[in-house]
Amino acid sequence: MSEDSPKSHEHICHHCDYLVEIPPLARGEKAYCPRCKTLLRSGSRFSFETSFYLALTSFILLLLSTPFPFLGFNAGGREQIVSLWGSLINIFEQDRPLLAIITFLFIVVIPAIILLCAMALFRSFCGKKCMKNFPWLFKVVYYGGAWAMVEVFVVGILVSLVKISSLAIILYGPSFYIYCLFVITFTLTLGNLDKELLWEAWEEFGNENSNSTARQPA
Amino acid sequence: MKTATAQPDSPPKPSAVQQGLTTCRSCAEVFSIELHKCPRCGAPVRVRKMRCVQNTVALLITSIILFIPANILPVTVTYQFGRPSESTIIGGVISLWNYGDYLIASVIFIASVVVPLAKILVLSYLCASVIRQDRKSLVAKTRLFQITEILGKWSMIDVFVVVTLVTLVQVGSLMTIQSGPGIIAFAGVVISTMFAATTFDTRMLWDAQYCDDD
Repeated sequence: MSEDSPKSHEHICHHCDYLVEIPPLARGEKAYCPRCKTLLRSGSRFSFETSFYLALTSFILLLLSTPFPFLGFNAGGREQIVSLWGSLINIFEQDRPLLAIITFLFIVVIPAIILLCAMALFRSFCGKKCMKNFPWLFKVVYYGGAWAMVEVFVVGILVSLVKISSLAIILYGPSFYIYCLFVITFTLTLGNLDKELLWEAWEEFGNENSNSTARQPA
Repeated sequence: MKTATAQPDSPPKPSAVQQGLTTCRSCAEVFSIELHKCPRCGAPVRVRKMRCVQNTVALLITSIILFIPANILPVTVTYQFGRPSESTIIGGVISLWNYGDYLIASVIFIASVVVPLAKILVLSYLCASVIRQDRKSLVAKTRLFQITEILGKWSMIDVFVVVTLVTLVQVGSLMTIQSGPGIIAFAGVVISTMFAATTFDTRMLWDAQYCDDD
């Protein structure tokens, strides 16, 4: 590890345990593992500031999408439109509580937690501050992404709408469009995480502010 | 360029572990295998995931057990003029197909039957090849695992379809839809296969290259 050039860095592939040297990447360039062909790192990224505002936008959109009319149904003059929150409450009280809890977790709670953590860590990097709890915030954002099912939810809604479109007229409330926008900004926020850049920034800001003992093995 | 291609008889290129190095799964720092904690982020580090095959197999067995009620029990109960009619995952796909909704029928069939089954089969196959130390087509196996990991959450489509149907179809006394117990078992299948994928360590596949034949 002594011959660390300023730009390129050593990396061990997480999928096949192969040691590679990743050269500095230009925008749009991608680095693949020479042995198992996994994508290791890609060059095109947003700045920490852009990422912060994307996360903030997603969080506000998520908050706005729950209380307002989401989807509705008009059959023979009977009109009914419900909010996302209201429909989950209905399922919880009248149908199957566990189904409501699972859905609520995967489409609202987990994305919200991920976004709060993402905002906290991008914010601290904008101010070039060191943060002690960065390692676990990062873990939440990085590993939590697999458990946020917002895009699956939207596809699920579309599938069921096609299923019942013959029965009645479907009404789309403002929250439905807000949720669709949220899915786009949320995907952009998570899709542009550069692991290496974040950890390098953390080390750099940490060493500037205080001579932290983070590098010493305990 | 031709010199760059690996000769079939040449010994395999060494993994990082043979060079005394390992990496942190969280922050990707490279350091000596003698350390048990990542020097950068302090996360506990193991050279390979602990009891990788055992954990994956246990979760796969869980998902196979849950797969049975998920397909036998009804996922929706439709009350039309007060009369209930139950529908399973396969039953729903067949009736959609008969109505002529071929696209929706195939989407639901692929997402809720083909993908979960394929995930269970792929992960079982990968566990078997770790145990047998099979060193053939490692690149393809790694790719297979990555596809399994990405497809994981898309099986949840059926759960969200049921949620939407239950919410929307409440037209007074004419017709209502309620969820069936099968949908919870099905969500369990998806969640346990997702956990099975996270406990599997693809580096174990590549370790087979360095094992001597007995």
